[in-house]
Amino acid sequence: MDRTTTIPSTAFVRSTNIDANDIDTTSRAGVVYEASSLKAMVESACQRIVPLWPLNAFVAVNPYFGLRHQDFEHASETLARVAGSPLVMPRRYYREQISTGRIARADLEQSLRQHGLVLDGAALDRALADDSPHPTGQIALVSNVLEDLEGTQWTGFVIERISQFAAAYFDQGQAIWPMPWRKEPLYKAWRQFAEIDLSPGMMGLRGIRSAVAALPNLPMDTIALALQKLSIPADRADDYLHAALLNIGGWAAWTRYLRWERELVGGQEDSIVDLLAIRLAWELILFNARQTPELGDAWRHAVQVPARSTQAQTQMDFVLQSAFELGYQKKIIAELSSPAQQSITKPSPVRPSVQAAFCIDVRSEVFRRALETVAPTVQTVGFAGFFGAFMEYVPLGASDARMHMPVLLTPGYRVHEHVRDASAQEVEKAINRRHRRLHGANAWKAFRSSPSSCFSFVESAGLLYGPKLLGDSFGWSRTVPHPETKGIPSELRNRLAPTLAEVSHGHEITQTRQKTTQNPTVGIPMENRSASAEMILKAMSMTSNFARLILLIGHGSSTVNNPHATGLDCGACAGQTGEVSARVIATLLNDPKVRAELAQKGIHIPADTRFVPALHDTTLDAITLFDIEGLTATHAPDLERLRKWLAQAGQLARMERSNLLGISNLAPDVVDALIRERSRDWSQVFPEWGLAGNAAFIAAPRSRTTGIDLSGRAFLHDYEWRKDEGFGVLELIMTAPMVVANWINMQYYGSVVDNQRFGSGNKVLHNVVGGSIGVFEGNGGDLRVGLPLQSLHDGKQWVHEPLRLNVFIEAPKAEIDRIIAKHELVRELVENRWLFLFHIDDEQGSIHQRHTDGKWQRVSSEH
Amino acid sequence: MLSTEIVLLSDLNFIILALISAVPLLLWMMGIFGSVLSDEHSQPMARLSNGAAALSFVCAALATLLYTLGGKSLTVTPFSVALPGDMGALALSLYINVVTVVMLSLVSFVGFVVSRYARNYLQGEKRRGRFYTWLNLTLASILTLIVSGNMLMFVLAWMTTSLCLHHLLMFYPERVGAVLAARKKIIVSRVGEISLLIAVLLIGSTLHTMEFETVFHTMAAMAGPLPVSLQWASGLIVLAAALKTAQFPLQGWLIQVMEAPTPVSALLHAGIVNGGAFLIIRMSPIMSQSITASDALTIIGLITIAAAGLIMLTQTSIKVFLAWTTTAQMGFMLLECGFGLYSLAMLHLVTHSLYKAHAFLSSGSVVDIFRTPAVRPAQSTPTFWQWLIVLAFAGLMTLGIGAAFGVTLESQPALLALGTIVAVAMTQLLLQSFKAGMGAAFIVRAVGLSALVCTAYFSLHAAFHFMLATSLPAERTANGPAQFTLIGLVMLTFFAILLIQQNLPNLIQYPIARRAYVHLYNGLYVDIPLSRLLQRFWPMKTAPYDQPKGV
Repeated sequence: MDRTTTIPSTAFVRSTNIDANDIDTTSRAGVVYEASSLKAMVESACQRIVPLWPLNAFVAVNPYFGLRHQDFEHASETLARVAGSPLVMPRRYYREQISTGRIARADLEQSLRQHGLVLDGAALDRALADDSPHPTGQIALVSNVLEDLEGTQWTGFVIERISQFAAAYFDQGQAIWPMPWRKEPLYKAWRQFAEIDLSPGMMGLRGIRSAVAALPNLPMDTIALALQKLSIPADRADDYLHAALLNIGGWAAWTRYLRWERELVGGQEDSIVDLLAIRLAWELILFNARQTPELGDAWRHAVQVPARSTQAQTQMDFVLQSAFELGYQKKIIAELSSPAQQSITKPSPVRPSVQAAFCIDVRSEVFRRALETVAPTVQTVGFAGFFGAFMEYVPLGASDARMHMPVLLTPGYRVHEHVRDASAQEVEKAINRRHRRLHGANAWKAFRSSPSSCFSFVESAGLLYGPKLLGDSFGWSRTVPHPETKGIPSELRNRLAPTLAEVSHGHEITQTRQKTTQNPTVGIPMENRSASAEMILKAMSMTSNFARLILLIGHGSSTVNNPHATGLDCGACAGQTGEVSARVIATLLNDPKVRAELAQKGIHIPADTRFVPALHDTTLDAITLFDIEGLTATHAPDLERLRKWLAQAGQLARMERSNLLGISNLAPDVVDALIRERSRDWSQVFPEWGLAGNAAFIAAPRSRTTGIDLSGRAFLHDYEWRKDEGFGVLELIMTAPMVVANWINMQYYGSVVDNQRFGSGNKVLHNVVGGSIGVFEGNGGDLRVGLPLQSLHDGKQWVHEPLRLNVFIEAPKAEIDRIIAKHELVRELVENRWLFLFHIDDEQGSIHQRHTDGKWQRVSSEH
Repeated sequence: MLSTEIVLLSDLNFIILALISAVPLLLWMMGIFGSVLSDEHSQPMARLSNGAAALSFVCAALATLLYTLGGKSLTVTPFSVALPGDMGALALSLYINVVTVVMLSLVSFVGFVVSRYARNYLQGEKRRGRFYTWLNLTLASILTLIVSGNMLMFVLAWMTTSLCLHHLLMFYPERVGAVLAARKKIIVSRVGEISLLIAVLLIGSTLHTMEFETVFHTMAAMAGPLPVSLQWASGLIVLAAALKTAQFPLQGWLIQVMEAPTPVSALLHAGIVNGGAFLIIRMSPIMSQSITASDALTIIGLITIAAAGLIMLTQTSIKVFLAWTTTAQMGFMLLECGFGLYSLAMLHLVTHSLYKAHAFLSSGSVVDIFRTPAVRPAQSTPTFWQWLIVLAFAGLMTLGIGAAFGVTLESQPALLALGTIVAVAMTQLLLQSFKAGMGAAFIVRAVGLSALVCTAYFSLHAAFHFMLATSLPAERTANGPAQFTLIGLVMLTFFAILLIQQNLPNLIQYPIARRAYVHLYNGLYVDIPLSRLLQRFWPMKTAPYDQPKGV
């Protein structure tokens, strides 16, 4: 390749005779970007992208979090303009809701009034029948313009090239031969890669390698050069950069994740800027390689058309979406303010037979209701499923710690998995054994997948896959060993438990979040325990009237062969099951020393009260109790009764769920068997419905919602404001669990309204990338984010209704307002209508909605 | 004709015949009559198809069992039409021998597993009913191909397989990638089919028969050099086989079928691509006497192994990685055929199918592997002494265990190449355990494991050799002048691959290795020209994106 020509000109398929020098892009470049303003602009574009967590800890993310400073409708316009992404459903979806009665005429009229639209019946019908056009992005990239001119899929080509490169660069161990430039910054690595890569040339785009060589050395310079050469007007540079990033949105989200992780510990990570530079470098390259007068004209036109979306959603779309949301709001408001709920707001002073604390996850609501039905003396509580254990966790023998708490925070403690009642030597032996087994498994895997040995592997061991195929087909065996117990001898499995003690397992541990100076404390030190215990109990509003048995129930799912399995586990535990958190906190609260210190602080836990950790399997709706060995002497009858209740409640919950699973109207034992089969089926793409349907978040005493069928659609957080001195707990709820619920809600929302961009498409085409980074849909294309279609849609209809979260808080309005004013993030979510905020007045039983102007208005089911 | 022949059969052979006929027939019927159920009744369609696939596997397994109890190799022809020019006849004819029953059991088993898997996996897909129609027809075609005793019937079944498979590859016709891959497959398939048809006609006109069994006996009795027409025929057979098994550089369609649902990939990679090797095995009476064609097979296989083997090292997505390993494995099978080791190729075919079906169907589990606590090896590359010890040990072990099974180099020189490949594989396994740094006890276990693997290899080798002795031609005696060069090349290639893989961490410092990395990661670009040609001469309409399901 000739390196002397800096920018290639005319060598391409349908070659033209235009001399490159005829079109001097620089002469038109009237825009000069200052370094500081450019930096701010790039930063702002990067901040609009939200992170994507890897599949081994697939946590929900609000895809619109980067646009939260914009009003919902404004953001809709932004997304339509920049990416052609809709923020509401297509018109026909609402028509269907109207025809089924899900959207009532009254709600529609009310919504019209709220939006200040006056339409008579005929005009309304016309508006409904008129299909709103799918928005098309108004901010064009060079590749889009060129595509329209030539008919070749240039955008797809560029995405493919960048995506393939990024997959190799970020690979976590799928490739046996790693990319040589992984240790260099992304942009620099790309240039070295692209200078060798012959694919663009083979595709008829010649001179790319020398063009790459001629690019500036620094990513920021490339970005500046592109903006300048492409004459992007200053007032639309923001949008242009945003559009460029969203064009490779999957990898942008991945790089945003890397930055997020570093930022939480005060570090800096600029892969996302590098990625932007790479995408813009492609713009430059295409523009230069394909210089024709037509392209010049088309591009000039593209950057000059008013940056306003003419095809964005109209008022009518928002009217329909609001009417859709009103329908749900009215229903839940009617239930929450029904007279039956008024009489029982005071918690009963009788000691409950059992207290059971569940995660706020919407799936808990079904089980709690079932448990209260079979055992009315049981009191259930809702709390974030990590139970206040701010920790990272080290499984036995692991050399990496893993996050085990909400991803918004940094861990304070490091807790190890340990063998119970074991000597140091015994633990060492167990770890050694696990290491040997894991190394053995790795060596076998290498034997299986190496080009030097895979042929002999097949001929000597391939026959074993005959029985394996049969076993996996019928659910008798698991496709691969369960990651939690892999390499642990079966006799040890029952003895594994997290320990609060400061233990060392003799090898170095990599932290989850690399703090430059500070190491997390190993174990939970004695001096911190009672403070933690106090904080947790107060946050659960559980400071008196303790039952003899108190369950702390984390949750997890059981599915096989499911790349998105961790997405069904506990989000508050960073995509792990809640088992470890529950066990850690139960141990903490059972500690006599902790109890003694708590008593000094005024929290008296009776001596006969025991905290019991448990795990709610959300696929099976079954609850497993842990660490109950010591209880048989003192609490045997309690346990026996509890087990019976849990079994009955599980049955009820499964019967309720069977509807959505398409196995209703069957005998209970048949349903049980089918659900069990589902959890072991390697071909099951609908193992459970996860958090589909979520639409409400209620922070109130359970008595407010007892007896209401919330259909597994509400996050329930227990909160009694009268016990909350200084309203610290309220502040915590509104800044953490409420935000997390918004993230989950919006992840589902975005995955439904724009699955192409914010969802991960069809599970049957998923192709896991880079070990466990994410999935491609099919051969390649961009990395996919969000939820697969099978988590949202059953093949006939959407199972999840795209509704913004309705937050109900039973606390004084003034305090809620104070917290909104104090926290910018909360204010943005509320006032920009990314959620709806309601206040429950516990004295009058009335419900008030907070409007964007900060005024509260009483609402009723007819509001 | 029909009655006399069948009446002559003993009871046992009659039952075997009935069972074997049932295997494809069940699926033909399900495929043809099941299509009335259409997409609205996809649940009963899925259940019935699962049942048909299960029943067809049971029949195949029973037939295999009865055959081992005392079946005999024979061809039954219930219906035939004589061809002009004394070329034999176009016949509906069943060829029953060990190869037939083994292949039938294998394919019907994989078919059953895939059919069952798809029932839940494609739940909610609009076109699930149609999927089952085409799955049943595709399976029926392959099973017909397997039982064909007549070469023309074989060719027809071969063509039908491609045509039915096309509908499975186009399960999502709105996906541009799917259409592109399916079109590549169309071109490759048609070329392969034409070559095969010509080859069969050449054989028919030379040997005056279309029956595989007659060809088998005629060739066994033939003395003197192979007639030129059969030389040509064998060349065309090599071409058809290489195209069917997605050999480098025409592997593009196989790598890109990830645009169809996972069960289609599993069926394709574990069932259909094997067609090429099966063709060679069926034609082995001719192939074993055609030195040029055999050498060509070896060379094609070896090039594919080297290219696909190195390319697969760099791949970052699980399904694409698996696809490249299939290409390499197919190359290996052709290589074995080229050396005349048909029974080994048959072993490879069976074991690879089972393994690859599982690998594809369980590809979603790869995340679990990355959720397991990571352990890191103590060293990144082996030391010189480790190399020396391990190589010597693996070589001696292979020789020793091979000798214990009566495999010696004098019996067949090609085994030198195969022995080397086993020794290289053992070296890989042992070096990996050295690098783990888990101490002597760990290495001793690894040694034990490698001895076990090696023993399994040679015992299966012996078992297949014994089992297939009557169904395959006697081992090739005529060896060409190029044989030792080829053996040397194979040994060299495998040593080179091992050396490269074990030294990857060091290679990074050489610019040439970095360049090689980029080219390999891009699949050596061989697919791009074909894609471009296709796009130019057969442009695709791209439909705008629509919500893919319901609503």
